[in-house]
Amino acid sequence: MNNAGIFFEKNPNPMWVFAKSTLKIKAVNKAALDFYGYSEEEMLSLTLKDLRPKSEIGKLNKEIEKNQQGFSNAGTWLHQKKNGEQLYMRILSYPINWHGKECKLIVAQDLTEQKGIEKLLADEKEEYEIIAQNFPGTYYVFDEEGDLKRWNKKLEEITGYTNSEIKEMTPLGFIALSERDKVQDSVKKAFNSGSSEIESLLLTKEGKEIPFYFKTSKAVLHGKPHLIGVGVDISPLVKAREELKLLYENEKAERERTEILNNSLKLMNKVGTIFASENDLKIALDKIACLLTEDVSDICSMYLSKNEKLNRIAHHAASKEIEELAAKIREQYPDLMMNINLFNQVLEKGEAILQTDFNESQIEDFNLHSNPQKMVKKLGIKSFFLLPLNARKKTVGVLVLVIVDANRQFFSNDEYFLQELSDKIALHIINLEIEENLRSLNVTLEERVQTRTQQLEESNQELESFSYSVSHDLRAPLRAIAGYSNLLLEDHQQDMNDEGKEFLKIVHDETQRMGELIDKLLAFSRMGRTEKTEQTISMNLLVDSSIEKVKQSFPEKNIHFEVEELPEVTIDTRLMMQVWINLLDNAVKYYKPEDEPLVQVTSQLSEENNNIIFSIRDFGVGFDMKYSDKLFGVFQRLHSDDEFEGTGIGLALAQRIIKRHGGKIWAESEEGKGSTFYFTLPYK
Amino acid sequence: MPEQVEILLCEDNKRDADLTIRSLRKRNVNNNIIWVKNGEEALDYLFGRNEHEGRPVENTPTVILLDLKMPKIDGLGVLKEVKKNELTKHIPVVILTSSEEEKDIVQSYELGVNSYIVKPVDFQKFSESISDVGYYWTLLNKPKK
Repeated sequence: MNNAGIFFEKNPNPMWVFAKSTLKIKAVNKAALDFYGYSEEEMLSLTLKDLRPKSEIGKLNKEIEKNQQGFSNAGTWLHQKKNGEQLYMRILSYPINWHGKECKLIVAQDLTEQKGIEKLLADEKEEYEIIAQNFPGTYYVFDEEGDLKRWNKKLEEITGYTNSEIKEMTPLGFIALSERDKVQDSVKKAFNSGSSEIESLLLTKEGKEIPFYFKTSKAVLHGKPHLIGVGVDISPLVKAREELKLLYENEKAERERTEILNNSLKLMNKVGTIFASENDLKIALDKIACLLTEDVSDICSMYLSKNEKLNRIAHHAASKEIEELAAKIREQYPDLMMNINLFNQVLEKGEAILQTDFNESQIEDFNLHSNPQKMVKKLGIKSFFLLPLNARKKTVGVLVLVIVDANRQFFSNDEYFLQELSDKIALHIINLEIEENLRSLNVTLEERVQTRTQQLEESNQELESFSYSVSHDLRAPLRAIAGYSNLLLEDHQQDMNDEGKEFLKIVHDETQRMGELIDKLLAFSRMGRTEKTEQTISMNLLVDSSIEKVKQSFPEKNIHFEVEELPEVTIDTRLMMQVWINLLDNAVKYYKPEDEPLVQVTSQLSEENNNIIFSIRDFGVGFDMKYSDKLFGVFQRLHSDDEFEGTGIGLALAQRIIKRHGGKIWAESEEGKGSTFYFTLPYK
Repeated sequence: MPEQVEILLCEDNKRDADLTIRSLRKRNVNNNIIWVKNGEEALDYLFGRNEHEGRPVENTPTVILLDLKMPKIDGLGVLKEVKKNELTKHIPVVILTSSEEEKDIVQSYELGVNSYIVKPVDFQKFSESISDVGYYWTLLNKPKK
């Protein structure tokens, strides 16, 4: 075989020759046979058309027509193998002369792989296209000249520009005017440093501005730096941010309000402390005024209205200058306040007046003369607050707060808290008034009590002296009557008849009685005067002594005394002796003359354990309980003198003494059976 | 009853004085009762002054019956003087009180009163009272100075 033959036969690429006119295949090489799957015989019987799938035949015919003139390269064609497998072939054709005929020499190359790769690439490209178009944001690529190379559909959709419009635009064209400089700088930065990100506003074709977030990074495409960027609509983010900001601001406002409230509370607390710790109201109020000029206003004054006049009771100014000004005004026009209607309004209505944004011209309303008006103007009042001092439904004064500093102001919260403060101050003032009234009332009362007591004491003294001198002076003539009538009886018996003697005896007896009455009366009256001298002593001792005395009074009687063991007591011995003597005397006396008196003395502790009850029991004639309340009256008796002698003062005296010792005395009795007298003494 | 007993009675009330003297006389108190009507006179007598000048003051009375209420110098005043003076302080003094209470008042003075009798003077009480003094009898037994 010669070279040409090898070239044809051994060629790895399928080769064949076909006649131009008939398209019949005239020669074929091994590669073609292997490739297409025909035998030599089969293939030599085929035409070009047979190598094509049916669908391609149309194309082939067209090509043939076109190629009558001659062509060198046939291009890419879809061929079909014997087994029906379709594949792309690259066909190279050359016109040759084959045994005198015009033929074409074909060299075919399997493009399957290539085609496969191409398809892959095409698919991939398609994929990228889809991804790019459906990117959840916009993406864009541009170069340093601002030439937009690529972008996705989203950009078109969002901005409203068409593809062709965008082609003509630069990146800045999509940015809101106000933001362009900022973005320009960002772009520069990206080209320099390699990346940047920025929040800005996207400008649509219609002019709408949408908050967008752009992030770009630099890449070199085709040797030139480009910026590849992504833009995300952050409107919801911005909205959320705004809401958060609002929330934060609300919260901040709330916090500020709370702080103000807190401050108010702290202030109230401080005020409370001042009131609690300061005795002198005036000092307390001055301190409070000072406090208020620190926290609330530049000037603070408190006025009390009394008798149509306003008296300043507390005052403080935040600075020396203000103080001096205020002092000057006060010096020259001390009654300034009274002339200002506002004050009267506050006093009458009991309502506060708050004036913020006070401007000078409003001073005209104060109704002041030019001079004072000038001075007040000088103060430079920016706002003022007049609060009534209300307590017990009365307005007793005014709390004046003035701000001259333009940077200061009254807060809306202040109104409530300052009113509370004013009420508190007013209450204290009223309380002080009440206190003072009470005090002077007390003093008056004290004085009256003293006077009364003195009067009483004097009266008592007089009474005492009276009863004393009465009984004393009465005694003297009584002595004479008794004495001489006695003498008569003794020495002039013989001058008188029985009746005369009888009469004289009566005279004498009565004088005795009178003497006794006077004695007892004197003793009774003395009871009030004498000092009680107490000593602790066994009651038995007293009782025994008294019994001795009583026995002496009734020498003719055979008396039986039964005395229990009695406790120790702390009493005035002399007085208590008198009580025992009186009671024992009675116990013995009120017996039928023929009976022998029996007297029992006992004691016991009371139920509540706070008293000792002494009892003196007799078994004599007793008395009718109906009259028991008369027992202890002065000169009261339940029996007549015929029945039993007595002055009717013994029990009264006993009661007086017992009372002085803090005890009680009473009696129980049954006529004919006897009586029991009880008295108590406190048990210590 | 010893023979020479001298009683100085200081009593301003005529009736009271009379009754006292009668009472004492009745019982045959063989005595010399000197009656002065006020405290000043009592002291004049005791110390031999004024109208009693010249009296031998060493002849002191055996007992002084002293009423409390007297004009010029009262009973307590006299008592004070008597107890102060060497010449007279040994003389027993019997206070005549008009009541038991008065006795208490006087006792508070702690002037060393010997005895008390409540008027009117009952002779029984009188002699009891004198015997209370105790040394009256002793004095009587001594030769009078």
